[in-house]
Amino acid sequence: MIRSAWVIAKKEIRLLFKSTRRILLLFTTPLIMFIMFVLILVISGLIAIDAEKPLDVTVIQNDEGHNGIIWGDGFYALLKSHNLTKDYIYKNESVINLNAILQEKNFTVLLYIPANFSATINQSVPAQFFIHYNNARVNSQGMVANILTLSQNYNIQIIYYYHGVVNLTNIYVIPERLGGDEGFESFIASYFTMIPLYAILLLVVPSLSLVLISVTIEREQKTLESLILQPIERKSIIAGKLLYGSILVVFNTAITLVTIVAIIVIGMISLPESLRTELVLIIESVIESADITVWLFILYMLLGLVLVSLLVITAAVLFSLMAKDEREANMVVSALIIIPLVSTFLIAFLPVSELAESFQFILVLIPLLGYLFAIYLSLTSGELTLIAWFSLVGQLGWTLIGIWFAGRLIESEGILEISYKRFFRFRRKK
Amino acid sequence: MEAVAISTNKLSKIYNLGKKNEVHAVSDLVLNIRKGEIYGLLGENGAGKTTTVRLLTTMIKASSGSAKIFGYDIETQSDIVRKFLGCLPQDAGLYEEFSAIENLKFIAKLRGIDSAEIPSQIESLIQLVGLEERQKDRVETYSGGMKRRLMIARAMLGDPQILFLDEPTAGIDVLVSRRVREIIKTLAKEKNITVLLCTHDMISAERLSDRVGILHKGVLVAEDTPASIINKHATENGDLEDAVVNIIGWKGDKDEEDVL
Ligand SMILES: Nc1ncnc2c1ncn2[C@@H]1O[C@H](COP(=O)(O)OP(=O)(O)OP(=O)(O)O)[C@@H](O)[C@H]1O
Ligand SMILES: [Mg+2]
Repeated sequence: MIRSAWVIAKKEIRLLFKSTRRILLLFTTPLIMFIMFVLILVISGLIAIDAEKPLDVTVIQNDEGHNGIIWGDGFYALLKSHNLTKDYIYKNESVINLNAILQEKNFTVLLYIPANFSATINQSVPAQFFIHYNNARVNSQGMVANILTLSQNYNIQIIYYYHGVVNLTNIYVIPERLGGDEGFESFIASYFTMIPLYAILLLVVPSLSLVLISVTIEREQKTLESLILQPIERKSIIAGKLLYGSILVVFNTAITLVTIVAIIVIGMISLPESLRTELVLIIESVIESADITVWLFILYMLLGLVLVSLLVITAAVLFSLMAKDEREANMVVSALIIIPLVSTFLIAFLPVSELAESFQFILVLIPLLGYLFAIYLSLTSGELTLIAWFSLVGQLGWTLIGIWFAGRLIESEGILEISYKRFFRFRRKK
Repeated sequence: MEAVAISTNKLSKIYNLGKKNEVHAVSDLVLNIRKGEIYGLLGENGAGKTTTVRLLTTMIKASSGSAKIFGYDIETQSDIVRKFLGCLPQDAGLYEEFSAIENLKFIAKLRGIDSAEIPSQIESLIQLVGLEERQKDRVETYSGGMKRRLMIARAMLGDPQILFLDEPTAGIDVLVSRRVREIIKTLAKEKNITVLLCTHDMISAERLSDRVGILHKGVLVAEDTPASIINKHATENGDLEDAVVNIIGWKGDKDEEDVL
C-alpha cells in the first residue's frame, strides 16, 4: 500500500512539472508575497512623502515623573520620531478635563498617561495607560496598532535601561463610538485570528487546487480505470493523492519561508543603519522575554496548521472524487475559500467568547472554522484552554472521517462515473 | 489436461437507474474458458460485453452469481485476481502529458515489476505496437489509433496470464489491425495466454477466436467455434457476421438486410 501510494505520488509530481499552468499555481504564494512586498515598499515610499502632514494623535500627560524622568516624554519623543503625533501635548490635565476632551471627540487617537505612571513603572509593577480611538475615523484602528507596537518597543527599551526586572505596561484600548465599548482583547484577538487564516489560505490553497486537478484529471482522461485495474488496493490511490498533497504543502511552506527570509533580508538591507540595529535589538529582546506560554502558543499554531492542512487536502481528495470534472471541483474550491473569508466577518461580529462553554465546545469542532474560533478564544482568554486543544482533536477527527469516507468512495463501483448529481443516488443505494 | 482460466457461474449484473428502472446488463452468464484459449465475445451495442469484462476484471461487483479466475474468486480475492490480468478497457485513457514511455513506466511500477526489467520490457512492447518513432512525444500529440496501440501495450505489461481486450481494433488502421491480430495469436499460442476479446470486427473474431460467445441483451445465446456457428446459423456462403445477425435477430425489413 505504502509502495504504490509512493509510486502514485511520484507520478503526480512528474505530471505537475509537465504543465506551466500547474507550476505557476505551485509558486503562487511566494509570488503573491513578493508582489505584496514590492507594493509595501512603494506605499511606504509614498507615506514618507505624506508624513509632512502631522497625524492627529493627542497625548494627555498627567504623570509627574519619577526622579526627574517622565516616562511619557520619552514615549512622546518616540511617537514624534515616527510622525505619529501633532505637535502638542497636554500636561497635568485633570480627569474632569479629560472627560470633556473625550466628549468633544476632536481627536483620532488620544493617549492618556495617568498620574504616578513613571513611579509605578519604576517599582517594577505593571502600570497602565489608555489609548482612546475614534471609531468614526477610518484609519484610527491602524494607528492604534502602530502606537501599540511603538509602546511595546518603548517598554522593552525601558527594560533594557533598567537592566532589571521586567516591567509590564498594561495598555487599555478604548474605542470611542456611539456607546460602543469593546475591550482591548477582542480587538487584538480578531486582529491575530487573521494570521492563521491567511497562513492557511496562502499555504494550503495552491496545494488544494493541485490535488483537485490531479484527481479530476484521472476521471477526465479516463486513467482512473487503468489505476483500479492494477494489482493494488484501491485505497492506496487515496493514500497516494494524500501523500502528494502533503508533499505539496510541505514544499509550499518551505518556499514560502524562504521567501519570507528573503524579504526580511532585503528589507533589512534597505533600512538605514541605525534603524536596523534597533530592530535587531528589539527582535532579540522579544525572543528573550517570550515565556513558556508564548512558545506553547506558537507550537499550538504550528500543530494547528499541520492538522488543518491535512484536513484541507483530505477535503480536496474527497470532493474531487465526487466531482465529475475539474469544473465541478473548482466550484467546491471557491466554496472552501469563501468559508474562511466569511468566518473573519463572523469572528468580528459574533461574540464567541461570551457564549456558553458547552456551545463553545461545539463551535470549535466545526471543520477549519473551529480552529479559528479556538485561536480567537485563546487570545481573548489569554491562555490555551482545554477547548483550544479539543479543537485540534476535532480537526484531526474530521480528517480521519474524510479519509475513511474517501476510502469507501473509491471502493464503490460508481467511482468511474460519480458526479455530485449521481452521488446522492449512490448514497441511497448503499 | 486443460486448465480453466475463467469460469463463471450464473454471473449477473443489474444496473439500477432509479425509479424501478432496471437494466439487466448481464444475466446468468455461464462461461468456461480454457487456459490459452482465445474467446471472442460478440453482441450488439449494449449486449453486455463491456459489463462482462468489468465484472471479470473486478472493476464492478456482480449483483448475483460468482466467477473464478484461475480458481481465485473475483469478489473475495480480487487483489490476487488482478495480478493475472491485463486489460484494455473499451473506454480508457492515457496521461496525455506523459510520453508513451512515461505512461508505461508508471503502470509498470504500480504493477510491481522489477525495476531492472522495466526498460527492456517497455522497449519490446513499444516495438510490438510500432510506436518507436513517437515514444518520447507527449501522448496528446498522438492520433486516436496510436493511443489505442499504446493502451494495448499497457495491457500487456507485466506478462499477464489473461488479457481482456475490449474492442482493441476500434479506430486502428488495417495494417496495425492485422499486426494486432498477429500479436494476439502469438501470445496465445506461444505464451499460452488466455484472451477474452470483445469486438465488432467480425474478421478478427472469425480468424482469431478458438470459440466465440454471442451475447444478446445480457444473455449468452450461442457459443461455439466460429466454423460451427457459421455452419449452423449463417445462410449459404455466409460468414460470421451473417451468423451473428441471424442469431441476435435483425428486426429490420428485408431490403435493408440486403443493403447490409
Ligand atoms: N454504469 C452504468 N449504469 C447504468 N447502466 C449501464 C452502465 N454501464 C452499462 N450499462 C447498461 O448495461 C447494458 C450493457 O452495456 P455494455 O456497456 O456492457 O454493452 P456492450 O456490449 O459493451 O456494448 P457496446 O458494443 O456498445 O460497447 C447497456 O444497456 C447499458 O445501458
Ligand atoms: Mg462495450
